[in-house]
Amino acid sequence: MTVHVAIVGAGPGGMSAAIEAQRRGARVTLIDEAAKPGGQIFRQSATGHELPLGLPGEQKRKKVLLSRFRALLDGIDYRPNCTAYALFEGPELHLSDQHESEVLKPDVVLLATGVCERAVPFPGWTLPGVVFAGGAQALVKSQGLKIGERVVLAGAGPLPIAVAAQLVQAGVQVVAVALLFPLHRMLFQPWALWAGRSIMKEGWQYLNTLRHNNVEVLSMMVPVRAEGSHHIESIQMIRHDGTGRPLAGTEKRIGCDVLALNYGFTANSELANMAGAQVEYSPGRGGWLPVTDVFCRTGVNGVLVAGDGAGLRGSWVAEAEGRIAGAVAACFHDAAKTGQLEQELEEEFGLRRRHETFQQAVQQSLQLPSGVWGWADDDTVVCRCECVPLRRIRQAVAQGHTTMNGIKRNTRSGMGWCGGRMCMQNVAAYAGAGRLHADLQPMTPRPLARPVSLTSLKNHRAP
Amino acid sequence: MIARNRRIGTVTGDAFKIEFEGRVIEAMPGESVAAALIANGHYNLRSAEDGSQRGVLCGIGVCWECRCIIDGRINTRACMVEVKPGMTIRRQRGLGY
Repeated sequence: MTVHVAIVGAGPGGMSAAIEAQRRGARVTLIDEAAKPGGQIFRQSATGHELPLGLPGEQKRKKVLLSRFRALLDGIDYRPNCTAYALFEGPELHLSDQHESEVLKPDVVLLATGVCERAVPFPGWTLPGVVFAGGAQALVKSQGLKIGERVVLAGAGPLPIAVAAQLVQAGVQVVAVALLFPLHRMLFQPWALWAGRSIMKEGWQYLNTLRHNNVEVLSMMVPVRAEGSHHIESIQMIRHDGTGRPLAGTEKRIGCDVLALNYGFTANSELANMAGAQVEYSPGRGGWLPVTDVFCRTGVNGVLVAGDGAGLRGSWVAEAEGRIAGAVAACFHDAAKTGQLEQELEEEFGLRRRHETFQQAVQQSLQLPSGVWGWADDDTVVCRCECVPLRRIRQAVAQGHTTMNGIKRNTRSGMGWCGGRMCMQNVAAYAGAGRLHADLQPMTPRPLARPVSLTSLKNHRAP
Repeated sequence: MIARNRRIGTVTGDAFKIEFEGRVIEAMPGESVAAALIANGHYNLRSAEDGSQRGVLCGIGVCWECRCIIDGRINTRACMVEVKPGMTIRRQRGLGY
């Protein structure tokens, strides 16, 4: 009996899963929100000319995987520009594109939905010109856009330095990079996240690029106020005391027209959660993560999760884990065969294990100290979609609403267009850093996980 | 109006005209509406319900902060739509209707 596997996401995890599942005889449907395969890290150029930015090794892996995926396209049902907006037990997967909606009932749903970026709120962070670092990178790399005349980066973990160096390579003037923790601490961190394993060498190359181009690296400095009327004109940086708390008298104002931030990531885990999978809270690894076994299986029959969406580990692991999950999905009707996969895919299982140490280091560098939650004032908007200021969240907590659902219902945080993906981790932190333990439950995910047009729901395509 | 050149490398294809808030600006084939607007120095795409100004944040279709009115269609993400000749783009104010 042919197994039907529906994969959500066409990044490194989803593409390798599709290749592996199809190779093992499964019927594959691959759903992706973007127009072209690649996901975020292997994003393809929109304008047709690829900027040769980033690490040579990464570019080569991208080329190989994309060409293998293209060779597969005739044999699978590939659906770009398509959104998976709900997942229920069964599994039952609800899809929508701009014109039509449809319900799939495959044997297996394999979620390779990746992560999105995260920032820590401060006054002025909603101003136009304040963007995510990975977003700036995407605009430069895939759109060939010089994103600003004077760019400042700020954040934690390895991404701000990597993006700064790539922007410089592209000819963008980067004025400064403000890092939450000093460089020497960073150098012991993995660049595996975006860069793979030739990490130290590449890390040094990035730093050298910054040095040679007179980019000021501000260690232990954080953004506390973006200024400008309709657009960012300057950013107020300040030193912090090691726990994220600003030290008065150390302010430094830097003029800029773009401020690119990255203070970590949020896993796109709401579909797994909606289907009933157990989730655990792990802030350094992407927030609420579905609990999976070594075969990428959640507790829900027929629902698998692979790649960063199951915990931030970078594109190498996503690729390997995609292959594992693709094989597990193809063996869905044959439990004995699944057991043999550990030997058959020794290399993939091994790679994933080896990256565990890296993973722990990344987790450490993205672990935000408690003081960062003091950057915002009462009027700072925390939930950008619903314009909810910090004051409202504090009031709700003071009134005894301490669960994520309670805060959501009382403040509207997380009810807007992004589905809470931009704010819920931050709301949790403001509600009480002490409660950020593994058992902290997210707000209950409801359909629609993504905005869907009423027209497409009306035009329901029968199976 | 002369477009500010904020593009990198060799740009293929011929530039065409689009309209943003009643002003004619230049766009390049293949780029997103967001890229075309930023290339012309326009970062401010929307005013939120509380009156604050907003523009591109995530750049990858997740946050919806860049939603604006494209060819009359409200709540359209500038970062996800490919720019086409003659497109009319307007800032979205509040809910947009």
